[in-house]
Amino acid sequence: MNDDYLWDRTGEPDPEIQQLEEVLGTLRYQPRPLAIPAHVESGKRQSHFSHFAIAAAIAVMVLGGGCWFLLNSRRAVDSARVPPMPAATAADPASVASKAVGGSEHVIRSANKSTEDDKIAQPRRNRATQMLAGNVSRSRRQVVKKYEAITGERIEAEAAKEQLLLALRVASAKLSLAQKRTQGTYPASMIRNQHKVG
Amino acid sequence: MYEVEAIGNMPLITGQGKLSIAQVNAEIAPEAMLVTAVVEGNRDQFARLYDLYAPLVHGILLARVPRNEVADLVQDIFLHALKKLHTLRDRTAFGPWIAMIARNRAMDFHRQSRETVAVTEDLGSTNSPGAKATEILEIIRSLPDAYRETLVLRLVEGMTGPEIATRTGLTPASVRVNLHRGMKLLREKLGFKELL
Repeated sequence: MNDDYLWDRTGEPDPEIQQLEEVLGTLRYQPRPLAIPAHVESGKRQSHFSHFAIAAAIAVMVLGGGCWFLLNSRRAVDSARVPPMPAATAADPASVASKAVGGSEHVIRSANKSTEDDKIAQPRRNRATQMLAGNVSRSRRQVVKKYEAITGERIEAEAAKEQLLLALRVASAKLSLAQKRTQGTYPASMIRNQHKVG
Repeated sequence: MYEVEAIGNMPLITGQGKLSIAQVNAEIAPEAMLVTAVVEGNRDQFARLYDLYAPLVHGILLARVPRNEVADLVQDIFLHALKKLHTLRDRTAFGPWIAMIARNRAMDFHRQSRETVAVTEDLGSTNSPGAKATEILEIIRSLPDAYRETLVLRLVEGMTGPEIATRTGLTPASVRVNLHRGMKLLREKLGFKELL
């Protein structure tokens, strides 16, 4: 079948298609003016707005970045001015140890009292004290170095940490001493003398 | 989704097809200028685009949604197109672009609305031309997507095959195949002499 009429209305007309056109033509589009509301904007205006929005966003980001940079630079200047060291860290190692330990100070003193007249144990205690003092001075030097390197708040945190570690070391030394006593590895004379004292 | 009929019949691609492509290019150029003018802020030019493409949108909708909803949907689609016209990258492709908007809008309409029966004045008298037209339109709507849209544009809106190809962006050969096969199916379903 030749479908030229169906394709572009050329050639011999097909009566069936003509009938269909006639009937269905009643449903054809009836021209009706397009009512465009005033608030509807065309694409050009919207693109202007989007450009403005992008520019505003970039400006806000630049301003925010500038403020952040200024704040950071001020903090850096403030941290460059290092405050004087706390009194605790400037004191001598023995006093640092006793102050740092806090609660353990009492333990050290009582231990000193309990072994005060023990002449054999004295050298060991002296060595332990010297070791502790050496540790304290070493840690103090480390703390001082760090203190010079980083800001004040961080230094305080580091010093507190060192003090806590020192207290733990002292407590550990005392515990090991007590363990030796209970296990009998400690000199018998010392135990006997302790009984006499007690 | 809109289906494009595969081109399987080579003799259909004739010199007329080449001619219609040239016609397409000749017709599209002024439309691209209209689109550019509207994007640059000349809203009055949009009325010309509306006049050119309203029958296409009307036909696409008529093949898919109830008849009494079509007129309002045509207006909505053109308002939407006006808002989004700046997003159209290829300004020579306004026809395919707005045709796709119309198809998507028709699908949205069916998603959002419940199943209803459109009650019109034509239902009262089955012998009136309007009733016959509605009946035939319902039969066309029962055909596959590619056929019903092309048939409505040809038989209802009175567009020729090359015009349909120009406006929708389909190849002339595809449109020709769709018209031929769609018409064959329609003849079978109509029981032609009885209905008319």
